[in-house]
Amino acid sequence: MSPALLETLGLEKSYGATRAAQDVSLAFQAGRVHALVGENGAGKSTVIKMITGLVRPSGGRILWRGEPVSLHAPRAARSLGIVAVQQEMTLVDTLSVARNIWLGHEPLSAIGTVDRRRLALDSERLIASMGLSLDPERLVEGLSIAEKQMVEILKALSLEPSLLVLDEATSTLGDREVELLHAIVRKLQAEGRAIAFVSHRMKEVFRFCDDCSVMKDGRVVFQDEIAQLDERRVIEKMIGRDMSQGFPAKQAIPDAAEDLLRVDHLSTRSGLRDVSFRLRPGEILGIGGLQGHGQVELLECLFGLGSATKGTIEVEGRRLSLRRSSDALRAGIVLVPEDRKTQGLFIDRTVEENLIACSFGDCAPFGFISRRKAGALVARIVERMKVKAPDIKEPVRRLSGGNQQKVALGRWLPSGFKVLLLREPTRGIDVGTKFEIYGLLRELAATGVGIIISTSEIIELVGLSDRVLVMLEKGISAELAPGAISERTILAASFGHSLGESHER
Amino acid sequence: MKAGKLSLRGESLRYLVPYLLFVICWFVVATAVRGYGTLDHFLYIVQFAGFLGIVSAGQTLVIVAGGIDLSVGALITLSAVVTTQTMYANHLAFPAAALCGLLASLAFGVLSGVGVGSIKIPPLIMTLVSATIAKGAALLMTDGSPHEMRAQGFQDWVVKPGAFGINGILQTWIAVSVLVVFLMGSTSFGKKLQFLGSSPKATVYAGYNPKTLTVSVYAISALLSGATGILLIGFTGNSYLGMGDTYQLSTLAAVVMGGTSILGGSGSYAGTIAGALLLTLITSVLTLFSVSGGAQVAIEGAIILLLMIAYASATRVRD
Amino acid sequence: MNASRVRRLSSRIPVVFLPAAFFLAINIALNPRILSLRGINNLALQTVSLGLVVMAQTLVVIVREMDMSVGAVVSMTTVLVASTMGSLHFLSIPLALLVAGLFGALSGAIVAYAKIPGIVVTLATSMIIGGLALVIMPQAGGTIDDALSDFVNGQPFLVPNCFLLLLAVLLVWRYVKGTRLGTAIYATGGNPFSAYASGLPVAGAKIAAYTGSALLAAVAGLVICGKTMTGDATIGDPYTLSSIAGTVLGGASFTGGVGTMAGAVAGALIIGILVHVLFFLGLSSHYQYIAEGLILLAAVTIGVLAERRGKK
Repeated sequence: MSPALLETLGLEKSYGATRAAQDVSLAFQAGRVHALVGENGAGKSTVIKMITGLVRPSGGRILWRGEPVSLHAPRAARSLGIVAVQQEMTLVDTLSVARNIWLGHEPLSAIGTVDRRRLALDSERLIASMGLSLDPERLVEGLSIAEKQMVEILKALSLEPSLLVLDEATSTLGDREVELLHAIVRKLQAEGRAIAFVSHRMKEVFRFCDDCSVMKDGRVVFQDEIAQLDERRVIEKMIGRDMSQGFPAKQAIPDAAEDLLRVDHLSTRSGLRDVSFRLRPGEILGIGGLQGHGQVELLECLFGLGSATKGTIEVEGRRLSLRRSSDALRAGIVLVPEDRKTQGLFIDRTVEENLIACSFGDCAPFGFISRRKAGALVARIVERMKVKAPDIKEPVRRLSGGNQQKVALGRWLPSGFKVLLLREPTRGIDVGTKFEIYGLLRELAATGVGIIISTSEIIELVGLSDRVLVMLEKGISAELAPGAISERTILAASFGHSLGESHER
Repeated sequence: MKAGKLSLRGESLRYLVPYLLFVICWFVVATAVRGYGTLDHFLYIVQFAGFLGIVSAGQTLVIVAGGIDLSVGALITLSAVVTTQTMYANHLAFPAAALCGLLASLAFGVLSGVGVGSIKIPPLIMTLVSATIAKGAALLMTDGSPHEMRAQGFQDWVVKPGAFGINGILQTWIAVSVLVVFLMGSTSFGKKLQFLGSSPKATVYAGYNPKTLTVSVYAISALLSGATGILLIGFTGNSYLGMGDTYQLSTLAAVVMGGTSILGGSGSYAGTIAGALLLTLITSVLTLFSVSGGAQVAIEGAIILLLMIAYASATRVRD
Repeated sequence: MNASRVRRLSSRIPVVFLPAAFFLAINIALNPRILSLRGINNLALQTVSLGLVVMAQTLVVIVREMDMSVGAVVSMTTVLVASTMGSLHFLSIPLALLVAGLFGALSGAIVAYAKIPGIVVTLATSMIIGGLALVIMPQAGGTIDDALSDFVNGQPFLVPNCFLLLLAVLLVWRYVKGTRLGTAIYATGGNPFSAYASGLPVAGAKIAAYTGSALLAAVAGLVICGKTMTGDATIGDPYTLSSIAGTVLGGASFTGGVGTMAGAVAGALIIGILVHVLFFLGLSSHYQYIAEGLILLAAVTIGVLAERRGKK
């Protein structure tokens, strides 16, 4: 094997007493695609941040083409040719595609201004060479999420990277775009570049990559060539357990059961088209489909944050007029939104305050907060959810992702809700807590509550849902009965194909 | 658990700093200037600080809720002018006239709240707009020459020491202080305001109505400004256009000095009280040394700037 | 491709020039005297000074901040020039520009490095600058060399000199906008996180915007000096509010990343003409404040609502 392009030896990063990464030794070879997989919190992003210069290692060495280097800033990494496509978007909506691609390194004219003609030409050339068709003059604002992700990738390519890091770059891409990316990766390999592919999507890891390193709890626990591995084994190494086992038992809901929630021909200004479905008490209804196909709009509309133009929503037979979230609350519908940091929690406020935030009716009867009632309420929720918070008077941002989510969900417990809506409930959470939450959801369902969970984690959908609705183009593409729920059927429906009533594994 | 207690104290420490500064300044002034440092002097300062303190309560609430109120000065003038005008021209008794003054301020508070909460106009601009229109309304109403105040009963209550040996201003300030501190710390409304300032986007997801919260907080601020205006005319005996102007920037200074973050989300009126006291002390000393109005404003501005920088750095260090 | 080219070209000519032309027509109809040499001169001076101030505010708004010290810088400039022109003559002008630039850079640095919102930083600096101006010149006065007045008021090329000045400023901006700094300014306003993640000099962009704003306000102060022939520490006060109104009317957005200097000038034109029109309609000065306030309210409401509709 030729010498590695980038090699890390015993890399380590500690934040105070926490060891985010230790003894990480990886090698990225030119012309090969190296997968870095692991659960959330396993240390992948820390390692990526270290090799892209965002974070300084606490120990260990980084070698570039055999020579030790010190990556003290992103610029240092860039100058070597290490470029990353991050998880967060770094595009500026108000600028054009061309401007975004060359942002910060635009071609200049003789008098120091940006050479617009060369900018356009270079952009067209780059876009075409990658097999895409995008108008470089178009403002990024109007692009779809998938198109924006492609622009992010083009932006990284414009820097002519020797090592390209793709950090969860495919989470917002559809089938077609993933194919294009695959072709781009092959092309880069042929050019002798190295690729680091960070993902938790096993299908793509096995399709794209040559080598694989598995991280767990900050260490590299396993390394091998992809050819020698299979999905099951990798996942087991990642989380130390078989992910498809361990879901709580599902419920068989008799067809004759009364509807808890009934949605008929719902259309909204946000684009939903003619959505109809039922939710029975005790049922967990999963909502799947590719990202951006209406899942968010549906949940927000049910929580009173949407703008229904047609159709009806009924809870226990009563028609609802949901104009704001308080209307939904009064009807017994609650929502745990996708983004804990800006929507689901008051991130800078204390754990205690967040836990009582939705229960002022209980602990502040005439508007005056009763410390006693508040304290009791908080203690009850902490116990029920098993929230690990050493000090409830600390800002909730100090908690781990899993505990934050427990607070985001737990704050609704005292409200006595009838319908619980969840969006990406286990994103960014460690495996142990994930299963705690799954168990809790099933327990809640058993009390007669109806649960709707919208998630992009197919394993979660398959393991948890009694029934699944797959959304496509802001409408429902398929409704899968209990026996028909599988990864294959969900994926097929996500792309609009139907597989019939197949019960195959 | 221990760590938790410490950090809570760390937060409260921030609001103790202005009290410490006040004590230090007091001693400096007491030793340096003859006649200063006596109990009489202290009461004098506290009394003057009362006006600033009451109107700054509204500013504190608005800032904690994530906004800013640049209309307090204009509303002080407006309520004062409306009160004297309706007493003189419409022959209303003082209580009715004062009510008109308060309602006038309230109207603009609601206007600001609707503009900020529903139309989503940046608070700074919206309250500037309200201030401008309020100034115009005051000008129009008085035709340029406002009247003097004539309500002896009220004026006596404001100025002369009454129950517990303190006068009307101090009685009002103490009442306002108790109410506002209680509001912020022990009511669901107060908590919701802090939530609004801390994470505005998360409020709808918790089932709150940010529009109502916004209108309420600007309305409260407007009422407090109005009350301050009426107290002022009770104290001085006459109203004039622009009488509230100096209070505008001083409320901001008092709030910032008190340790409340200009970004909103957390804050304490207790700190603002100290800020008002400190600011009043400083301006009285500056006036004593014949420092011109312009220089005083410049110094106030410099103090605000330095304190904001200091607090910003301190917060970053803590994280 | 061609269709999008046409679309972009038409967006370059701010739609706002239409109402500006409309109001100008009304103004001329109401007051034909405005078409005289003197009338045009007066209109020009007012438009130029207002235009410069709106450009100052627009620059800062593009970078997603605000500048509340615009009026104070205008006042300070007139005061500095009027008090030093007697001794320093021509040198008082670069001195005033230097002082303004330093204040602007200071504001920008505090905003960029201490991470405090520009609104409140410039509120505080406006107190400092305005207060200092009052200290330097408590009463309006001082001396202005005839040279400055001649330059500002002169019309050797048929078009008033100050128009040429405005044009020169626009040309300079055209150049700056085309540089990487210009891109950094627009990108920082459009998405500060993305700009930072892309390696752009975000702090530098903000400092540049505030410095530029202060310089533009200072030039406006010079033009005003040339007209009034005195220094006055309060003359700049109304300009802050007007700069905000003009910025919004000119199409800039408070969410950042959007705005043009041509739009700024158009916005200034509208504001200036509106005031004239109201004056000629016989509104007494008592209504002045209310009118200003309502204009600002309307301008900002239109701006905010138009933007929200555009987003949908």
